[in-house]
Amino acid sequence: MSKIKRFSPNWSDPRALEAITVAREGLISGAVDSVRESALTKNKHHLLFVGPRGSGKTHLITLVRHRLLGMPKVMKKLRIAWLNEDETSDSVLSLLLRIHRALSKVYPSEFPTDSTESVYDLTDRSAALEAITELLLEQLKENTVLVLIENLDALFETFGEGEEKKWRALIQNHSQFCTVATAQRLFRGVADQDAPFFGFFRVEHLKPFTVGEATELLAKVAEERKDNDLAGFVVSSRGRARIRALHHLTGGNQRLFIILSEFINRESLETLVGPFEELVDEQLTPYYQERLRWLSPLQRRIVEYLCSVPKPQPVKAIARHLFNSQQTISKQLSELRNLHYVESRQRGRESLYELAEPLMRLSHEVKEAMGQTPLRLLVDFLRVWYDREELERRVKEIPSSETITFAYFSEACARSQTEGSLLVEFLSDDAAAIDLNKCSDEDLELLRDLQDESKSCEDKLRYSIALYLRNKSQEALVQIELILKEVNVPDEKMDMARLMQISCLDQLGKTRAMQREVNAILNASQTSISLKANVLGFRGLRWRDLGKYSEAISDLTEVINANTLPSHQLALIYLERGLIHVRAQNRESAIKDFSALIDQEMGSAKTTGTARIMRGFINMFKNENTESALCDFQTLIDEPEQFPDKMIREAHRKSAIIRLSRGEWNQAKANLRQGISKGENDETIFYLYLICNLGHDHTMWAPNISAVVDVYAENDSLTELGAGLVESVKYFQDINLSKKGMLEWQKLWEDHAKKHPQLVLPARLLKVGIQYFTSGENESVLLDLPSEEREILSQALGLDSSTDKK
Amino acid sequence: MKSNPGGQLAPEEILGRDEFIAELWEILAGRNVYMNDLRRIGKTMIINKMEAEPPPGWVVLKRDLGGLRTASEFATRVFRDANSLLSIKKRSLRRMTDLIGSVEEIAGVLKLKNGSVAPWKEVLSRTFADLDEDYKTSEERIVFFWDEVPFLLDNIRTDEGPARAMEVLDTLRSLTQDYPSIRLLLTGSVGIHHVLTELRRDGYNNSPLNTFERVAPGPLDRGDAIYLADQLLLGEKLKVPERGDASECIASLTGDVPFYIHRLVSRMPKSKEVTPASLHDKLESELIAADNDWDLAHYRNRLTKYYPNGNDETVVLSILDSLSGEAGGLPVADLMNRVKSTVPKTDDEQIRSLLKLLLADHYLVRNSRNRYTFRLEIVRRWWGGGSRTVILTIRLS
Repeated sequence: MSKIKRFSPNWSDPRALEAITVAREGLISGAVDSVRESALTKNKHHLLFVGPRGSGKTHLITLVRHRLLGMPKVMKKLRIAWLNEDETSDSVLSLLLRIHRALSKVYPSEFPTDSTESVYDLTDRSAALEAITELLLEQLKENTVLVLIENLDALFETFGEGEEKKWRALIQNHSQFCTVATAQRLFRGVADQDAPFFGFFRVEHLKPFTVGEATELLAKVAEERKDNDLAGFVVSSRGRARIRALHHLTGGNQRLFIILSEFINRESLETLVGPFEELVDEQLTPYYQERLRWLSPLQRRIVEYLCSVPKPQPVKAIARHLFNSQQTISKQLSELRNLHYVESRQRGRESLYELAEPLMRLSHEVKEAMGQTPLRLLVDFLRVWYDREELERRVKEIPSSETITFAYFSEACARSQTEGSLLVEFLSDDAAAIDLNKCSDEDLELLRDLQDESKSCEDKLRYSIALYLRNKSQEALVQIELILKEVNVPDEKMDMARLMQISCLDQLGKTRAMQREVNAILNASQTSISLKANVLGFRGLRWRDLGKYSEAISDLTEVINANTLPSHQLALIYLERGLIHVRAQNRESAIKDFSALIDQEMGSAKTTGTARIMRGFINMFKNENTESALCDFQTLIDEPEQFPDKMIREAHRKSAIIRLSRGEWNQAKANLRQGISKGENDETIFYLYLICNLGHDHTMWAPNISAVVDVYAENDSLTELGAGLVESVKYFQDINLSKKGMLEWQKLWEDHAKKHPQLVLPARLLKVGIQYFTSGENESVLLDLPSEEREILSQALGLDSSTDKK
Repeated sequence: MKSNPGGQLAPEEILGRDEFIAELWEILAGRNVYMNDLRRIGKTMIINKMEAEPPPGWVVLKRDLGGLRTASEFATRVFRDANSLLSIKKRSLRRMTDLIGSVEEIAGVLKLKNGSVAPWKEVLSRTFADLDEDYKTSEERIVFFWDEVPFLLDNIRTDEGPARAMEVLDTLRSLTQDYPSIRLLLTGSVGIHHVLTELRRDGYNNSPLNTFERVAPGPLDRGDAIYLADQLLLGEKLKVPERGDASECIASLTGDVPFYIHRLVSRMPKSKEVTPASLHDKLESELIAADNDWDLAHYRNRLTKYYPNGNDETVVLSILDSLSGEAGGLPVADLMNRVKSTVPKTDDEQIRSLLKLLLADHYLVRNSRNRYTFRLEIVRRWWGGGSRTVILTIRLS
C-alpha cells in the first residue's frame, strides 16, 4: 500500500509527506513558528489556509502537527485538537465538545472522556456552554490549545452570526486558543467587515503549483519511489516539456499531480485504473454534486460545459454551446467567478474561463464514463507523456489479457493520430501568452521546448526572435541559419528569417556581414517588396543612430513611397521620420509627418499619442500655434482609456507649460496635479522659468511656488523639483531681475527648504548661484561650497568646474 | 517580533499606544469612557494592554460581550465576573447572596431561591451596590472594560426586542450615576449612534452615554507606525535592503493602522526583497484581487445603509470622491465648491451636516491644516483606485 494517501493525506505517513513537500515549506515553517510562539508566549495566532480541493491543505496541516509533535519544549505547553473533518458543529457548544473529544483521544488522562458527562445533563444551552468552557479551561491549565479545523467555511455556514460572535468573544475572553484552519475559499465570515471574525485570521492562499514546482514534486516522488528512470527523465528536456503539459492538464493541482505520478512509467494500468475510479467516485462526486446543487440551472450548465472541455474557453464559445447571448453568459461567469467555481485567464484582450477546481472535471468524467469508456484525464495524460510512436509501439506490445491497459493506450493512440500532438497544443497555449519583449529564462526554455517538439518553422522563428530580444544573437543566428537551410518554408517566414539575420548580425556588431546581407537583399531582383521595405526601414534607423539624418530620411521616404507595409508599420515609419526631422531641426517637415499619421488614423493609440505630443511640443513654442498644441494635448487628456497613463500625464505636464505662459494659473495647477509623477518630470525647468518670469516680486511668486511645491511633494517628486531649481540657475542671466528680486526669489525657496529636506541642498546652491550673478559673475563665491556641491553648481552655470583647481 | 494580523498580541508587543492609554487612565479617574472607532483599529488590543498593565489603585474586569444575547445573560456575566474577583479575596456579594442564595454551583442564567430566573436589573444593581460597598473603604477602584457593547445591544434588540435594549441602556446610565466609584470603559466598532438611531425609530429618546467621555484611538503616530513596521520586518526576517525606507513606506501605505501594518508585512514574500516599489505593488495587487480579504468596499457599501435620506448618499459620494484625489485634503470651501459642481441639488447646510456625520463615522478627519481628508490613508488610496476601476468597467462594458 502506498505511503502517500491521495485523498487522505492526514492518514499518510508524515515522513512520506515531508519527502514530497514542495513550494509550501515557507507556509509550513511560518505556521509552526506562529504556533510555537502561541504556545510559549501571550501572543496567540489564528491562521487560515485557503485553497481549492487538492491544493494541499490537509498535507500542510498534517505536517504542521507532525513538526510540532517533534518539539518537546513546545509540546509541554501545547495541546493539539485536530477536529474530525466529517463532524459538524452548529454551535460553539458543540464545537467545544468536539474540541474536548479530540483532546481526550490524544490526552485521555488530562481530558477524560467522561468528564463532559455533566455538561450533557444541563438542559439550558448557555449553562452547558459555560460549563464546557470552564471544564476545558480547567483541564487545559496554563497550556494553550491548538485547534486544527478543516473546512472552516462549512463550519461558519452552519454557525450563523450569533454563534460566530460567541466564539469570537470566547477566544477574546480566554487567551488560550490558537487556530490553524483551512477553507476551500475566502468566505464572508472572515472577509466581510461586518462579520465578527473580519480580519481575525492570518489568511494564506495556497497557489497552484508552477511548472518548476511541479517538476520538483515529480523529482521528489521519483526519489521517494527510488525510480531512477523517472528522476532522470524529469530533468531532461523531453521530461520538462511533458511536465509543462501535465501542468496544463492538472491546472497545477497538487493532488492531481500526485495521482498522475502513479501512472508514470507504468507498463500496465490494470491495477491502477479501477481503484482510482472508485476513489474519485466515492470521495469527490458527492462533494461536487452538493456544490452544483446550489447553482441556478444556467450556471450549472456553464460549469458542466467547462467540465466537458479540456481547456479554457472564451465567453463566445460558451455562449454558442449553451445557445445564449454573450452578455448573459458573461454576467453568469462573473458570478461564478465570485463564487469560486470558475477562474479567468487573459489571452491578449480575450478572457478565457476554466474550472477553478480541476478535480471537478475529473469527478464529472468519472460520472459520465461510468466505467465504460476510458477517462479522458488519463488518456490525455498518456498522450502527453508518450509521443505517437511510443504509443503505437505499446499498443502492439500489450498482452491481450490486459484489457484496461489496451483500451487506454489504444484510445490515446487513436486520438493522437486524429487530433495531433496534445503536448504541442499545450506548449503552444502556454507560449501564446509570452510577451517576447519581456521574455524570462523560463519563457525562453518553453519556446525552445516547443520548437523542439513541434519542429515548426514558425516556432523556430519565434524562439530566435526571443533570443535576439534577450541579446542572445549568437544563439539566434544558429536557429535562423537552420531555417534558411530548410526547404518548403513559406516566403513570408523566409523573409522574416532574413530580417532577423541582419538584426542579429547588427546586434553582434558584425557590421560588414550585416551590410553585405542588406545589400544582397536590396539588390536582388527576387526580393519581395515587403522584405525590401523592412530592410530599408531597418537601414534608415541605423543611419539615424549614426547621426546621418539625410540618409536616414532618404531610406524611410523610400519605404513610405513604396507604400507596401501594413498601415500600423507605416505609421511607425512616419513617426520615426518625424522624430528624425526634429533632431535635424526640420520642424515643419516633422509636423507634416506627425500630421500625416494622425490625420490618416493609421497607427496604434500609442503611436498616434506620441505624434500628438511631439506635434504639440513643437507648436507650443510658436505663439500663433499654442492653441493647436493645447488641442493635441487635450485630445489625450480627454481619452484616458485610449492612451497609456504615462502619455496622459505628459500631456498634462506640457499643457501646464502653455497655461503658465498665458498666466492661466488655475488651469496650470489642475494640469500639474494630474501630470506630476516621480521620475517623469522633465518639464520642471520650464515651470520654474515661467513662474519666475511672470512675476517680479514675492507677492506674485509666493502662492505659485507654494502650489508647485505642494504638488511635487504630494507626488513624491521634490527631488526632481530640487534638481530643476539648480538647473534653473543659469537662466538668471536671461531673466531681467533686479538684485532685490533675485534675493526675494531665493528667500522663498529657502523658506520651503525648511519644511522639505529634499530642497535644502538645491536652495543652498540657488543662493550661491544668485550670489554669483549679483557679484558680477565672480566665480570665487563658489568657493563657499564644498567641492562636490561646487561641481554641481558649476555645471548648472555652464562653467568649467576645473577652473577653481588652477 | 512576528507579524500577527488579527491575532492576540502579548501586551508588551502592543506598540505606540502608551500615551493614549495614559490619557485614558487620567480620564477614567473622573469619568466613564466610550471608545469607538473603525474595526481593526486596535481597540481590543488597547484594553488588553490596559488590563495587563493597570496603574496602581485600579482593578480591571475585562469582558467581550459580543457573544451575549439577552439582558439576563449580560447581568449574569457581570455578576460572575464580580463574584470571581471577590471570591479570590475570600469575600462575597452580600446583597446578591440575599437574592439568590449560594453562588457556588451556578451555571447559566442566575436563578432565585424559588427557581425562577433572577430579574436582570436587580442582579446588576445589587452587584454594583455590593462592589461599591466592598471597595468604598479600599484604596482600589473597580473598572469594567466591556468590549463590543454595540454588538450586545444589537443582539438584545434582535432577540428580546428594542424595549429591552433601551432598558439596558437606561440601566447602565443609572448605575453609573448611582455608583460613581465604579468606572466603565465601553468599546465598540459599530457607531453607538447607529444603534441609537435604530432604537429611536422605536421611540427611544434618552442619551444614555452623554456623561461618557468619547474617545477614538485612531491610527498610530507616524513615528510609532514606522517603528512597528521596522520591528515586524526584523522579526519576519524579510530581505529588506533599506529598512528605513521600507518601514516608512509601510506606515504611509497603511495609513499607520497597526492591523494593516501587520497584515501587509505578513503578506510580503520571504523570497523577494522588500522595497517601497514591491510594497506598493503588493498592496495594489491585494486590493484589486477578486479574492481579497481587505473588504475596503465595505466603506462604500455601507453608505447606503448609513445615509438613507434623500440624496444624502450622492452628496457623501461626491465628498469622498473629491477628497480621494487629494492626498493633502481640502479646505471646506474648496470641498463645498467641488461637491456643488457635481451635485447641483445640494447646499452648504446639507454638506456641513453630512461632513459632521462622516467625521462621527470615522470616514474623515480634519488635519493639522484644517483640511478635510480621509481618516485612513489606505481607504483614500482604495477609493481613488476603486472609483477609477468602476469608470473603466463601465466604459469597457
